[in-house]
Amino acid sequence: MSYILHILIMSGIYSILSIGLNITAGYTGVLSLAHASFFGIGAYTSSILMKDFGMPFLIALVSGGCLASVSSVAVGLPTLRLREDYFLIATLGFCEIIHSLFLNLESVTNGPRGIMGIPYPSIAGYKIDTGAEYLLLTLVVLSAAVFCSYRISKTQFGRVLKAIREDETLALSLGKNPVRYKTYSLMIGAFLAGLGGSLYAHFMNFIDPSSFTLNESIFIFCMIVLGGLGSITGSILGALVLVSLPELLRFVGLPDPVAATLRQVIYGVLLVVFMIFRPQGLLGGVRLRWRG
Amino acid sequence: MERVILRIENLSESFGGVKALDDVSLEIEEGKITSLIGPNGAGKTTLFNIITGFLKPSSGRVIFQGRRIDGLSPHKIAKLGISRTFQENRLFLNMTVLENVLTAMEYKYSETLLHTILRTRRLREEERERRKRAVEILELVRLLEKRNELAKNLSYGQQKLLMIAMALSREPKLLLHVDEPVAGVHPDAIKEIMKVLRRIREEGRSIFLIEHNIEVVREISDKVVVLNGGRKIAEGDPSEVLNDKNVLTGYLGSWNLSHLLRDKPDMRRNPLSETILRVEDLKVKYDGLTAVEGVDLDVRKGETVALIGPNGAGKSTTLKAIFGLVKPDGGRIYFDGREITGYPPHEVVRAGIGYVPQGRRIFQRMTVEENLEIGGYLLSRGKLEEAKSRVFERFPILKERKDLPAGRLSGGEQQMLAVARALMLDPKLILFDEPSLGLAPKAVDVVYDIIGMLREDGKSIVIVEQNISRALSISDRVYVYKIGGIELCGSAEEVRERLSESGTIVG
Repeated sequence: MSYILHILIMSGIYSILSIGLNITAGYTGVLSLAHASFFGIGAYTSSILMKDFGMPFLIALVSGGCLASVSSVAVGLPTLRLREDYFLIATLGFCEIIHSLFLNLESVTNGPRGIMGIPYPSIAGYKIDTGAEYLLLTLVVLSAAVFCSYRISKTQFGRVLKAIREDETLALSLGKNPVRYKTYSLMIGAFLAGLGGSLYAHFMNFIDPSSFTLNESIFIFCMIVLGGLGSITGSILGALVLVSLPELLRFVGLPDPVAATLRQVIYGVLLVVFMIFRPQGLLGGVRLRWRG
Repeated sequence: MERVILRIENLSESFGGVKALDDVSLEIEEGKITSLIGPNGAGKTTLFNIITGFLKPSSGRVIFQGRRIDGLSPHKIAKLGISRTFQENRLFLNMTVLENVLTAMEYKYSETLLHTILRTRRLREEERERRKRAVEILELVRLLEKRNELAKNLSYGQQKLLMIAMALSREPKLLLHVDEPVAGVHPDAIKEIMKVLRRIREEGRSIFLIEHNIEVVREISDKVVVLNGGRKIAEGDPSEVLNDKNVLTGYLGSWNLSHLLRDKPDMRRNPLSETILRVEDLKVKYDGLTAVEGVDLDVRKGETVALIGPNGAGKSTTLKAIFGLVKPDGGRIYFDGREITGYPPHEVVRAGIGYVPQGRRIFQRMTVEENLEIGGYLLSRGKLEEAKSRVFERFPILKERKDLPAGRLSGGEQQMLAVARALMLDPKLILFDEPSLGLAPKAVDVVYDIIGMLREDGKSIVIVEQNISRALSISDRVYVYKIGGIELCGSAEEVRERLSESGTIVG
């Protein structure tokens, strides 16, 4: 039972991450490979604030999101004026820089040894330390993320984001400032990644730099591509599939080293197959109706 | 006394040594329709791009309602009350018609994140108001029943109307509209667009229009401005300007031509042995729209053939189809005794055809020599040196400047380089697409000297040219295009006679 809960919680956390990246890359078309850095900044911020400074969990959580968001402005402002491909390279560099900061800023991050004994969250004196409770907490944050994402997609703000993705020149001629909106969408995505990072850290009770590498950024990217760029339900489905797929492979009975390698191969094949047969992703262009 | 809404003062713009605009000054009056006309490359689009902030002028000023706006970024200019459309249809294709209009609109609350997430009452009210206005605007352009269609599913003319609706939804004080010089907009759609433009004027808005259809200009404009080669050559009342001799020779000559020729095309066939290029029943479509159809043409060995006719008639498309840059949707192309239909460009080059594209398309940052080497990429090392020295012998100026970045050359020299590059593989047939476009008169002389030289060398040549007198002076035979196909062909002399009979002045 706790094994299933673990998978569900991890899927929930990754859904928050993928919904964030979906706003940045799916709505606005800003392709960022720095998502794992924002994830990591949220995780480290929240862990340190709670463990070393005794801050309440909720403040640590929100601070993680905010700091991730602020750091996204640092990478976005100078580079969002660049052409898309240059921006992609810039975020790739940013991801490497943050990773090496996690590794080498030992006085803050404890370097490669990571931070151990990160406390479970507690809200108003109530300690959240069982799997079911943690799942509930994750679902609450996830719901908030879905809610905001949905609101954005249904209003003028979201229309402008999509407009910039579709035709930046036209959007520019219609009085929309693309740099401003791209910065916003990067900040929102980073904020959600920061929240996801905080949830991840307090759930695992341990973080180290190896969780926040470029590979992780690509992994989250795969989720939204698989689910369908621009689709909220798709982002969640993508996270669910990619988090639980390796667990399913475990039951095939392959020896561990083979299974680990095979996983990478399967991701690769899956993505290639999708790009060929369903480039819009699983749920891209599909409108789910809850009623009727 | 009319009020001036936009004033342009001594505006100049140059790209890589080519003057796109040369000291242009003009005024747009409030509540009027001002049309801007001129041949391809006259600088019309450049002027629009400067007014809307997409380009910065080399010198001069743009003043909108007493405020200097040149150098501001496009979104700021749009916010001041200038909206524009684009020559090619630019829409948010994967959004619905209604969403396109809503996106275009100016919002106060809904463009902030806080109101968006809290979905405040102000935001909801604002959205309601905007939707109401969007419906009104869609009604005006008769797209209301299409409001839930995706923009990409609209017809061409409807897309044009939607672009106008989007520009209009920003409640601009000045609307810059560009029509498209392509056969494809249905006559009814043209009428519809004219009606809409008049309605916009009635609302008190000012319109600056790039229009290629002279009848539309005559009918709709309060004022006409004519550009040619980056200079303003006339300005004033439409009835005066459109009867001005200068304007007629500079521009209208190439315009109305096809309507003035009543006779059936004269399609004499030559024996294949004397023919280097034969095009049979060529048909090309772009996105489902027919660009040319039923094009038959022959080029004999050593012959120079000109293709003339109005903008958008399909002359350049014919060249591109021959060179393999667009795939024909029907018909056959033979070169030097074998069929080359559907060959990709590098195979066409190998077969012995050279191409000098419109706008020259040289590699600006590479040196002159490197540009030539690219033209000779099929050659072995030794052959390449040989070809280079042969070309340098022909064009000593290029030899002098061989280490200079090509972007630093003057317009005429760049055209020379484009020709030289095409000559690297010693082609039997050379295709020229608008070689005099955007060049100063002196540079045009140079280019035509070069073409004359190639002719004496015994090369076969096909030229697409808007400058009719130039084209007639150099060619043996001429094909006259109408929109979508060939109207007439004959020797240069015959065509000249027919044109002057029909009252078209040929310089």
